[in-house]
Amino acid sequence: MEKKLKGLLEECYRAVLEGDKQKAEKLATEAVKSGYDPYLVIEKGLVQGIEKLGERWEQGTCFLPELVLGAEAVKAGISILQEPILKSKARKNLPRVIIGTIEGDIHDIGKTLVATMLSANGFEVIDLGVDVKSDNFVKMAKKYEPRFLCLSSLLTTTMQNEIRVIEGLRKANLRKKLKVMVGGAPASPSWAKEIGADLYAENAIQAVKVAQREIGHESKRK
Amino acid sequence: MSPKESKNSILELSRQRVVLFDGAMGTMLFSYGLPLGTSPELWNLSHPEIVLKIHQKYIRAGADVIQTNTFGASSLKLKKSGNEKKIERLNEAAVKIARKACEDEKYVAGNIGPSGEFFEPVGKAKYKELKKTFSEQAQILHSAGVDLFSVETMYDLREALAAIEGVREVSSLPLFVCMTFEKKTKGYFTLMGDEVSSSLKKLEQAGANVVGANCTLGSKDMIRLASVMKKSTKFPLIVQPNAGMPKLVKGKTVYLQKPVSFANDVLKMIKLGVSFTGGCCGTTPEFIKTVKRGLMGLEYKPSGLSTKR
Repeated sequence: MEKKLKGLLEECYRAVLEGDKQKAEKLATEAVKSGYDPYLVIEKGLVQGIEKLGERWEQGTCFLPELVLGAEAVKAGISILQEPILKSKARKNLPRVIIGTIEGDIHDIGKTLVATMLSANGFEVIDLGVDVKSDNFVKMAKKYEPRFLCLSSLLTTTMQNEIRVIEGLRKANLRKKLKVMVGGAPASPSWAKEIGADLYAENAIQAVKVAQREIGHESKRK
Repeated sequence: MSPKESKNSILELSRQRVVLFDGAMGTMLFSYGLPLGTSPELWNLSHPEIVLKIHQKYIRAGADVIQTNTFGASSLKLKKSGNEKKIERLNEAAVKIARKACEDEKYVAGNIGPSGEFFEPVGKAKYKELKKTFSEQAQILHSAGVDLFSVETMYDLREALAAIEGVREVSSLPLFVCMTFEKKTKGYFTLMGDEVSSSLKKLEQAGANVVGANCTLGSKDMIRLASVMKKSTKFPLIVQPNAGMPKLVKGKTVYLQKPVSFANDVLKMIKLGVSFTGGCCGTTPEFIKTVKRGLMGLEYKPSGLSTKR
């Protein structure tokens, strides 16, 4: 790897750690001008930074503000790096994810973090927002045919609405066409099992790992 | 009872024995059929008899302090469900119901929870705006005749400080402030990364009389936190843990921890020097009753009461 590129990747990583959106944008623009592979810059630069923040988050040395700023820097960088990708015909077929917070629950942060992390890690994310009606999850799944449907719930009182989403998918013959991932403070592996979801992720970092692992399995099967 | 007398007496009382707060309100309201997505505070007007019944059950269980059903009754929080115009009626009704449930020697705590807004970079909240919303709610609660204030579940130190300042603008009643801490590999922190020791110090400086923790952690995990808090402050401490972690069984939220194990954990925290206790999510009158029984058998050594206020 040429020295200049290596330096740029390192700087991208730092920009995310520092939550410096402007710096991330500047670096991304520079990368596009220099004709570097945008995916390389995303993966080996920006995503490295957010992964480091994720590690720190789990340890308790980085918290919500740093994570939000880091995620924003990643998002800003990606949107610039994506421009040439979107223009070129050789656009990669990104695995698609639909995500939303369950009906009756207006918790936004956890869900948005997962969406940003997935997007930063090379997934195409359709974020339906919060308080998403069960029917709407099914309707959107039918329309966009995602690989993953991610359901977020922060309230034990509303999480049973996830059961209705899964039933809706079954009735619409969509259940086997996608993987349902659940997350949020009250969710657990046993909850996922109980309601017939495929996957559980404890946090945004795990969500990415779980989805990537799943894609790995699928491509191996092929 | 005039506010001034009661101010002295609840802090005085804690010099003589452990003071017991009530348990969960939301958990109880749901068991009485509060529909999903409905703000619990609305039941102060639509189902006052049920809110009253819950308070009475906690009093009968042995609670010294009951907390008004006003956790989400600040204007910023009520705005999210379009109920901000009802702020006065909801808070006034809550105090009236709590007072009705109380015998003379019991205390009514005006309960105040987070605004639901975040400071930058997570959200766009301004310190002044939060202080104003808390001061507005505190003014209504104060005028309606609470004996003390209980600010709870604060996950951002700055918001907790805004709440203290807001309350102190309108009232000099005893002020209890609980932050909510998560357990991380490197210790206990709020969602925003505030650590225990410096948080408690700032709460004290801002004007809280009693500091502590509630929610997020079950009673087992809160024991260690209690010892960290004890080392961090000379102020009297309050802990209100959850009844373990929630589980969903057949579509219903259940907390599987048994009252006896909860009470045992609470007693351990009392031995560490905690002066006030009660329960958060998942706790019921049965939990409070069991803690009360435990407390009656416990030799009490007063500790940590500051003479500053």
